[in-house]
Order: sequence, then C-alpha cells, then structure tokens
Amino acid sequence: MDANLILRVENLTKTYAVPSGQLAVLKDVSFDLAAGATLAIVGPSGSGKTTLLGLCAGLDRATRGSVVMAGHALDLLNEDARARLRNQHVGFMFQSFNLLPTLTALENVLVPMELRGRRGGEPEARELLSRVGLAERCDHFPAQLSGGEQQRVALARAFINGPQILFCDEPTGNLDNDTGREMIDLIFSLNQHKGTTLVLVTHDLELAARCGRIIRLKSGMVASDTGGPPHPA
Amino acid sequence: MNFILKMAWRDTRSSRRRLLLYSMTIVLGIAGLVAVQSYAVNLKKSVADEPRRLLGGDMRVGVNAWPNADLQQYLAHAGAEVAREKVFASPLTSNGKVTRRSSVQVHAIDPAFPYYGKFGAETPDAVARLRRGERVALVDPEVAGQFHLAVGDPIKLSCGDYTVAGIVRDFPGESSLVLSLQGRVFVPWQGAIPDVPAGKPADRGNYRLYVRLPSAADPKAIADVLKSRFVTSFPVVTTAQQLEKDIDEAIVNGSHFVAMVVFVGLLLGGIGIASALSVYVQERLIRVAILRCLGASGGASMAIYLCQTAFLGVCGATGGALLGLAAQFALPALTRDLLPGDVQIFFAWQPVLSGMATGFVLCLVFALLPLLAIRRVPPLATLRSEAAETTARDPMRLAVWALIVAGSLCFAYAQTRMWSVAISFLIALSVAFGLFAGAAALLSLAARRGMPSAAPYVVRQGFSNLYRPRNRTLLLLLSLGMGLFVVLTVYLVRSTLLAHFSGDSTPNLIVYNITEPDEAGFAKLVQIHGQRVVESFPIVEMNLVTVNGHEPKSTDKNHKETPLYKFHVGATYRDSLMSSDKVAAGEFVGRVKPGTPVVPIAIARWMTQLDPKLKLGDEAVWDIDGVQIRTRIATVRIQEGLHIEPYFPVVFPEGALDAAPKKTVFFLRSPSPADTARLEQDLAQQFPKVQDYDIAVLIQTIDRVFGRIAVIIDLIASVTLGTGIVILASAIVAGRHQRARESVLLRAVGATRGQLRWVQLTEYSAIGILAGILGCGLAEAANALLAHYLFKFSPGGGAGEVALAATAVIAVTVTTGVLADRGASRLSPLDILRKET
Repeated sequence: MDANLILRVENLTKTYAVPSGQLAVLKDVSFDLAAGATLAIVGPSGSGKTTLLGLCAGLDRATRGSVVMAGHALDLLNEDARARLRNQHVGFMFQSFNLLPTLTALENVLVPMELRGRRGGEPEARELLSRVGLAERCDHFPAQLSGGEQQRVALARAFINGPQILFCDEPTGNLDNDTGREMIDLIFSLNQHKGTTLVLVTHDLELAARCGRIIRLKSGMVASDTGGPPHPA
Repeated sequence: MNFILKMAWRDTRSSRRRLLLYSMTIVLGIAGLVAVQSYAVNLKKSVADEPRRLLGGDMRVGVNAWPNADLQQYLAHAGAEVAREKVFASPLTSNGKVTRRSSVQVHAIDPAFPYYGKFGAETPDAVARLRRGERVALVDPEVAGQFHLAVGDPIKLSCGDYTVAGIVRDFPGESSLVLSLQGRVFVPWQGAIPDVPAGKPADRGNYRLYVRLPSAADPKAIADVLKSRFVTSFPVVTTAQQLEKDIDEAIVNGSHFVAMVVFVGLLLGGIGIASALSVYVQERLIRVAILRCLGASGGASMAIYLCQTAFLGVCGATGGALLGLAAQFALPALTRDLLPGDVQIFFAWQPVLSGMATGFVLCLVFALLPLLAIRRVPPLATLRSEAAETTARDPMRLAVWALIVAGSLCFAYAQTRMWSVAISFLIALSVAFGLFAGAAALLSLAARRGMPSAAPYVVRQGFSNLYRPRNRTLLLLLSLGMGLFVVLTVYLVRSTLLAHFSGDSTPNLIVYNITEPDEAGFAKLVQIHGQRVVESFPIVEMNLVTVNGHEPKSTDKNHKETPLYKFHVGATYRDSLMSSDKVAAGEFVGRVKPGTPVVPIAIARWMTQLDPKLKLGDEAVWDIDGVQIRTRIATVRIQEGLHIEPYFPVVFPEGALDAAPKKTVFFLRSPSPADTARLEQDLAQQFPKVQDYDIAVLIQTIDRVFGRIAVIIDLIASVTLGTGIVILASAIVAGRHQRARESVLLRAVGATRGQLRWVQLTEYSAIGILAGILGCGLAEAANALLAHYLFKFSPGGGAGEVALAATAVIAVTVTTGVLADRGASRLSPLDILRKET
C-alpha cells in the first residue's frame, strides 16, 4: 500500500440475512483515500452510507472485500485489535453526539487517552475544549449542555489522541443551521490544523461541497466519485 | 485497571442509589446466613461450656428397675456419687382454690440432685425444703396453671399428701418452653419411694441415676461397662461429653438446615440482582458501544460493570453482615424459651466472613448473566442502536448456569458434608423453583387470557403492563409467592391440627384405668355429666414368655448370652384394626371362637425392629396373671398419621381375651370445660385410682409450640418475602425510565394523572393478587397434602389466615410499588426527552 494512503477499500460488500434470502446493502465498493484528504459520502437514505462508514472505521465486518487503514488490514484483526487501532488512529463524531452521560465534558474528552493508559492529559484536554469554545464548561455533564455544545465536546474527544483519520456520521444532523455551520467550520479548522483525514457521511450537499472528494452511493453501489486519484485537502 | 476502576466509579454517578437498592436484594439472605451461623457458633460455645450443667451430673443412667445392688456396687467402686430420680404417673387431687384431679408426672428426687446446673423455684427456700425431705412438692408452671395452685396449697398424689412449696423455674437441661409443657410435680425421694426389702425383686419403673464422678475417672469407659455389664436393666447412659457431642451435632445440623433454607432466599436475591442488572445493562449498551468505538476492548467494557457489581456485592455483603450481627443479638430473646440455659453472644469472624463471601460470590456469579452481553456489544451500535441487541446464543451463559448449579451444590455439601443430601437439596430446589415458576407462568397466562375486552381501559392497561418487554412479573410472583407460601403453610398446618383436635367428633377427654367392676358406675357418671363415649379400648396386661418354644434369649457379637426383650405389654382386643393402623405384613383376624388354641395376633412393627428375632408366623406364648395363652403372629402393623388413640403393641381378636382381667381406657367428648371439671371432681371422689387427661391441654400445647415455631419460621421466610419486596422495588426503579416515558406518551394523548395512578394501582394490585393466589393456593395444597399423607386426617380451618395473608401481600405489593414509583408520573416530558439524548 502506498505510504501516502490512509485508507484502501477494495470490493467491499455487506449483506444481511433476511427471511427472503440475502440483502446486499453494499456491493463491491472500492476506493483509496490519501492521508489528509477530505471525503464526503452522500446518497439517499438506505443507500449504504453509514454501513460504509462503519466498515471503513472498523466498527463492523464486511461480508466480502477488505479495508486497509493506516497499513492495517481490518479484516485480519479481531475486535479487540481493531479497538486498539481505533483508539490510536481514529476519531469519531456522531449525529447523536454519543457522549457518556455520567462523565463531565472534560472526562469525556479524556476517555480515549485514559484507554491508552496515558496519564496527565488534562491540560491537553482543557486546551482542546478551549479551542472548541468550552473552556468554561469543562465540569458540566452532557445533560447540562446544549446540542451544539455536546457536539463540540465530541469533536474535542475525537481529536484528543491525535487521530490520523476522523469519521463523522451526519455531524450536523441534530443541530440547527447556525450551530451546524459553526461546527463544520470547527471540524475543518481542526482538520487543517492537525492534518487529519476527514471522512464524513452527510445529506447536506453544502457541507459535502466543502470536501475535496465526494462519493455518491446509490443502492449500495458507488454511483459517482468526484475524487479520482486521491489528493490532499 | 486504573481506567476501569475510574470508569466504573464515574458510570455510577447517576445510579448509585439504584445500585444500593439492587444490593439490598441480597442483604436479607446474607443477614440470614450470618445471623444463623454466628448464633450457632455462640450456641456451641455456650453448650461446650456447660454440658454437665445441662445433664445435672457427669453422667445420667436410666434403668428400668431399682434397686440394683451390682450397679450400686460398681458405681461406688468407681468412686461415683449417685442422686436418684424416679418418674411415674399419678393422679393429682388439688384442694386449693379449685378442686380438680388429673394425671401428672411425678419426679421423686434425691436431695443431692442435681450435682451441676440449676434446679430452682420462684420461692427461694422451696428447693431447700424439698432437699431436707419435708412433705413438700414443687410443681412446674403447667401444673400450677392447670390446677390453679399456689404456694401452701395441699395436693394429693399416689405417693402421698404434699404441700406446694413453689413453682419450678429452672431445671437442668430444659428450656422454659419444655418445662412449661410437661405437667410435672417434684417430690422428695424420701417418703415417696418405699425401700425394697432385701431379697425382694427390684421395683420396675422409670429410674434415672445422676452420677458425679471423681476427676480422674473416665466417663466413657464407665459408660461402656454399664452398657455391657448391666444389659438386663437396659441402661440408657448419657455422659456429659456425649451430650455435648449430641447437642453440638444438633446445633450444627439445625443451623445448616436453616442456612440452606435461607440460602434459597439468597438465591432468589441473586436472581433479583441478575434481573435488575439486565435492565441496567440494557440502558448502558450504547455507552458500552461508545467505549468500544473509542478503543475499549470487550473485556475491559465488561470489567467496568463487573467492578460496579463487585461494589454492589460489597455493599450487600456489608449491609447483610451488619444486619445479621444485629439479628444475632436479637435471637436470644426469641429463642430464650426454647433453649436450656443462657447463650453468650459474642462476635465470631468465621461465620461473618463466610456469609459475606457466599453473598458476594453469588452476587458476582448471578450478575455475570446480564453482564456477559456487554462483551458482545459491537461498536457499530453507536451508529445503529439495534446492533446492540444481540440475539445469538452465548455459550458462556451456559457456563455461568453451570457455575450457579455447582456453587449451590458445593454450598449444600459444605452444610451437610453428604453429597447425597446436597444433590437431593439441589434437585428439590430445582423442582420447587420449577413448580413455582410453572404455576406463576400459568397464573399470569390465565390472567392475560381471562381479561375481558369490555374491562375499563385503566384495568386493561394495568394488566397489560405485566407483559411489557423485559417484565419482571414471573420473578416477582416467584419471590413474593414463595415467601407467602412458607409463612402461610405453617399457620395452615397449625389451624389443621387445632381444628382436628378440637373438632366435635374428636374426643377431648381421656380416662384411664377403669376396671371391670367400676365400668357400670363410670358409665352412669358419664351419662349424668352429658359426656359422650367416642371410643373405648380394653387393656389386658401380659408378659411374653416364649417365642417358638424358646425363652426370648439371644447371643450378642461377643457370644455372650444376653436375655433380650421380655416384653411386658398392655394389649387390647378388637374386631378390626384402628383407623390409624396399617397392615405392614400378614392379615388381620378380627374374631376367634373362645378357646381357640393358637390365637392369631397383630403386633406393632417397632417390636420386630427392636427384636429382629420376632417375625411374622412366630408362635408366642403370653402370660396373663398366671394363665398362658398361645398366639401366632399373623399381622405386623404400623400406625400412620397423628392420632390421639393409643398405639397398642399387641392387638388380639375379639373372643380371645373376653375372660381376661382388664382395664379400659375411655375417649370421651365433653360438651364444655365446666362439664370436664365436674366429671373430674366426681371421678376423684368415686374412683380415686382412675386417671384422666384433658385434651384441651394438648390443644394448648400445640398452639404454644406452633406459636414459638411460627416466630422462627416467620423469620426464615421473611428473608424470601423481604427479598421479594426489595426485588419488586428494584424492578420498579429499574424500569422507571420506561414507565415515565410511557406515562409521558399517555399524557400526550390525553391521559389524566388520575387515570395514570389507576393504571399503576391496577398493575401492582394484579401482581399482589397473582402472588397471593400463587402463595395461598400452594400453601393450601401443601397443607392438604400434609394433612392427608402425614397426619392422615382432613385439612381444616385456615380461611382467616388465607384471607389475612392474601390481603397483606396485596397491601405490601401495592404500597411498595407506589412508593418505589412515586413521582414517575409527575416528571415533565422535557425531563424524559432530555434523558433520552
């Protein structure tokens, strides 16, 4: 694999057993993504966007095909090894924020670092929270924060381990327009600052347009890919 | 590890009170174990300190005749001091405030009795006067109450006239309950038991010798000599060491039995924990998925919740141990009347630690059932929540169940040290759980199917809540129903016994020793006082002379000839066996012609068990006042059930003993206690040798014994019932969010708070009613089975107990439910929605 590539997806297929037989939600999807690139995966509901994101991030196993992330073939790793890989190389942002409700904003941000066994990361976490504008809300619990604030905590958490790739699933789906726009600015600003590869799933074409490359899915297959050969953002 | 501990602690932030409540499900079980086992240790220590005080001497020897010169000589040679006691039945005539006569047990005792222990009376000098040989008697509380006796009252016994000097309060080795049930009178040996002149045969009777041995003597060796050398006296020898060992075994067996019953409650608590945690875990699946997504392994995620369970287990074990220790201090007050002597209460580490460890391990193992799901939560659930619901079978769950079964087996083995008993316990437990679970499932299905569609909405909604996904209905019915079953069964059995013994067709007065010349006079008296003869039994006394032509002799294992059971029996004759008799072997012959050369007789099975040489078909010759009668053992019979009728060792057919000298025992039905008292008064005057027994005393005894047992059973059952209530509260708290969400939805579509409250009340009432039906139904069934198969009579009474128990369980269920769920319907929809984010 090319040293510049962060992600290689080859013939990725995912099927589910249904009473009438096998339902293919993703069929033979292939693409390469260079380190530092920005990719938007778009398509109508049920087109397989989230499935593709989950497979690329190692959250699920493909029925056929392979994903190589940061030089590691995910299908050769067991779940715990993939968890370690995610911890070291991957950041996540979800539509529903997915913060741990019993942890403060600061503690939420620290979780990936603590999972790695790293200590003394609090100043770094505070710095990240400060960069997303939550310096004063470090000790607040998710229930005490607005949706936009929760998503900013999630962003800070995603960057705490210095990931090589950030996966975002509809990051603005639960936010109003203004807050969503602010969030996107933050994501792209951190992405540029840290040199992180960005893969996001969205319905928002305006947001997709800010990415260097757009893959459009339809019925589980790649309908179009604007990127052609990978290039840095 | 640091991260796991930190996360485990942080994750409990919003649910610590909930977890503490869950831990309560094992608190009562652990408390029960700690209390029972600690108390057993205390009791053992207390007994170990005073076996001689319980026995009254270093040794007690029971013999069937006295004096025995050889025995006296042997004991004197061994340097022993001996205090004698003779126990015999006697009519008692009281001329105090109330003049009555009835049969009592007289204990004539030597002044030296007892060498150790307490023999005391309420009046300070009473025992001293008895020891000085004054014509005084000490009566036990039962006799004092029955005859309304007070100090100074004169009484007449078969051994003479006495003055009551006091009421006995302490007797070596006897609890106050036992003391109050006996009906005994203590008199000085001197003046009560006439000396047997030299050369005359020894007096046959129930004699006890209390022996004090020199410190160098070996009680066991002396006991062995007594048993082998004086076999014709049938000595029953009890040494202080043997008594200590017996009591020790009884305590160990008793405490282990109670511990096993309590363990059932603890198992229910474990199931309760598993049930509550399954809801807890369900709520946390997305959190687990987030952690997996962020890089936590399945093992680490599970370890976080295992740590929380360990915390929960530590809280439960600590709470249980503290409660158990408190109960240990309360137990002496409850058992004071049941135990001889005082129990020293002290802190014992071993039972506390073992109780805590049992509860802790049980909590962890049961918690594994829901926690195992955590390690299989895929990180994909962060994107698709439905991915968290894995339906694939987990083989590890089977391993956990195997661990639970093995753990229960090991616990039972640790208590009994017998694999057969441990396996039987496990099988019985599985059958009981299966039976309860099956009955509960059927009942809940019947309630579901039987709900009329025309019923008001709130009722239908309340009932349908019992079947919502992940409901705890079965578990609640199991725990509440089982607790109710145990408590109620004891009360129903008590009612059955009392109803039987006080029923109109059951005799309530027994009159013994009516001789043939007195029968006509006695019949007249009975008629005058309105009594009805329910049944009468002639008694003919006889001795066994030969069996198959040989005198009853045998050879022991040392080839030493030892005469065996020269039975002296009181036989009866009848044309049919008694209702309580069952033929074990042979065939009963009810009538023979007078003069039949060889009479077919029926003997009790215990005689063949006592003397294996006696068997069906043997020819036995009996001596009745010098006249010999040849018989053939045609029937071996056993008595089944609980009956007032005497159990005669030998039953002859009608026609065989018509001419033999006999006495008769009459079973009467007396209309009222006043009629009984009047009859007793006339009997005292006209037939001074006749004895009688008022069954009312037996009924009071049953009532008193059950009253005491019920307290203990209630305590044991409270572990199960209390656990059921905590499980109910836990289940409600665990499902609180789901309930609140439902109530928000119902309010959104127009339900009023009043309607929501009715839905809630219907649901908890339904659980209470179903648990009540289950517990009461099974208790009624158990009572009927016990009455039919064990007591051999119809179950009776108990309607009041059933109604009270059912009402109580419904009230407790509704109250617990409403308290645990309070405020859920008042939460604002916004609160609910925010919690869902």
